[in-house]
Amino acid sequence: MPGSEQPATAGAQTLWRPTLLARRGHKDVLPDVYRRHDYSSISIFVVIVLAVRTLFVSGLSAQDSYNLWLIYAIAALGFYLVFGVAGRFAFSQTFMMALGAYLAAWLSKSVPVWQAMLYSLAISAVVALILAVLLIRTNEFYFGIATLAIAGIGTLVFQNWTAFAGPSGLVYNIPSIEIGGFVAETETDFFWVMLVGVVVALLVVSLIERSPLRREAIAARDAPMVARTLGIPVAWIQVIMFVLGSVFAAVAGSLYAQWQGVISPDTFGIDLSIGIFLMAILGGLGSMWGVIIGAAFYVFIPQYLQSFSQYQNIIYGGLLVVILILLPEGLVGIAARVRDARRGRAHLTTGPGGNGGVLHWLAEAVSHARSSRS
Amino acid sequence: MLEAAGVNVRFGGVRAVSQVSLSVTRHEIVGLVGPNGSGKSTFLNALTGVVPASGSFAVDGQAVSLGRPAKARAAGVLRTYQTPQVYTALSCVENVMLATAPRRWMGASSAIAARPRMIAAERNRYSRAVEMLSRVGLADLAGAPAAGLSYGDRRILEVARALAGDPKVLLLDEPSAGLNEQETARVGAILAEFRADGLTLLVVDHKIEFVSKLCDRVVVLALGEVIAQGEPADVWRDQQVIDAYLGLEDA
Repeated sequence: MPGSEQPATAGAQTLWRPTLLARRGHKDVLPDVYRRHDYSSISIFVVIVLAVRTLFVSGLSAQDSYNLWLIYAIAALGFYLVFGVAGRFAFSQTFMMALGAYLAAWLSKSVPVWQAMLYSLAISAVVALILAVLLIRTNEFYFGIATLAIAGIGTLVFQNWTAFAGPSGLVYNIPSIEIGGFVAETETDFFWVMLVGVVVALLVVSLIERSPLRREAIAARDAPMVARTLGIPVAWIQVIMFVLGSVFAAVAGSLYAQWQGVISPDTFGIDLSIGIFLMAILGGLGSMWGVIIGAAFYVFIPQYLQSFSQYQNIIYGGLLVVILILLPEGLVGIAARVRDARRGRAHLTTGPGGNGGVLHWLAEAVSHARSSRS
Repeated sequence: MLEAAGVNVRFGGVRAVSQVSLSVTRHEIVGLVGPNGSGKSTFLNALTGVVPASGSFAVDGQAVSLGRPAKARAAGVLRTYQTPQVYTALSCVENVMLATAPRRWMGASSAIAARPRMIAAERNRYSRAVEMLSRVGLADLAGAPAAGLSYGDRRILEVARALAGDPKVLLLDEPSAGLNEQETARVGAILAEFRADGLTLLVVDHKIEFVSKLCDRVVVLALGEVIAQGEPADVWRDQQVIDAYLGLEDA
């Protein structure tokens, strides 16, 4: 929220060092965000994913979780665009996953799988556009509730529309992905498909973030009325971001359907809606990497905690609370903190979980209380 | 340049602004003053579409519909706020770039599919934004996050952003509020510099000295109505104005 925080007491000069280009005297350049090394980061991410899979992932169930992580990461990246960048709390992400999945399943009865996927995405995008146009002008909480209602209605429709979604929304024998001569059959085949999916999703987010759209979406998120008086089409930008994020979810859903071969409305239930929110909050909304880490946490940590048998949920819950309190910017915030500490500069947090965000405010209040006591 | 006639703003049963008519001619600097609650800021909000209002409003002879922020912006009306509304999640230069026109190559499709054109447009916006920041003395902080700025610098950044939007008329809501004398002088100097470039300005403020120094003409509001207008020195001598400020006005 602009203007709501206390200005930093340290002189602003200490917070920022001129970039390399600026120091060399290049005046006509671009904002810092354009100098992010996203393509390198994405390449490194791919290498890490491959390395970890080779070294640590063995056995069918481990491979299954690994693929699930990548699928959730795609849906969570969509949520990052909608909530993290555009600031709209959409509970409809799982509905869009379900829509993508059911459409792909239904369409692949009559057309080749790749066409079914493509049409499924196009129809999902149109549905998302209609929903966004209807709902985007509602305020924060109303938007959250409205999208939650959409998700609820969606579940009912998929359960009861037998002709489209099968009895009780159960669809079996969904054909596997088939592109050109490549037919995905094993977990490894699907791993490659999902890795490509995540990389494409990361690339799209990266292109969006290194464009005027990010700047305007943040402006529209943090102070919509100010943005309107600057001529920024607030509603339209949020519609665009919602549609993009929803398409990500639809991709994730249709991949899931083809991977598992069976879907039911419970696959995309309210648990997963909250799960996607958790991924975003735990991982952090300061950058697109946050939700990737958050999705990993959501998929893998409960599995590691299984050895604690009946204490599993208590430990998991405790862990969530500790992370939320200690790392208001999420797990990805650790990197930024370390970097700023090493450069010896003040740490300025950003994003809804960061600067001016509820969690950040809480952390500030706690540290203020502590410092005034000593 | 700016003509507002019979502007009304109602909050429930309260008439916050009542039949206010006001005009600002090209290159003129008009001060809008009045005691707290007299409707000055609400009037600016009405013109920029921040609150629903009725009445007629025209810029440069073109009618602008009230209650639509985008319309006011498109007509060349830019503004600042009583508490500086800068985006702390963005850098200073990005804040300024929010206002730089024209809005081309800004959508999702050009971000993905027309990148060279999008980047070229961004470079253009960037260099103009940096130029604006150097004119107001914030060039060194162009890449710094706006969250690190002092209150005074935030105010200046906000003014720079509005100026970068190439305003036909700039509306300032209490540019000196919360600033010390030195900072107020800085804001005054910046406005004086742009005035030489032919800036048209409507400024709401409390500080009589600041207004007298800056403005060609002063309009006084009390309880949502215009009670006096004229040259600053004459207006301060007006008995009605003195009464309004001292609270002798019958309510």
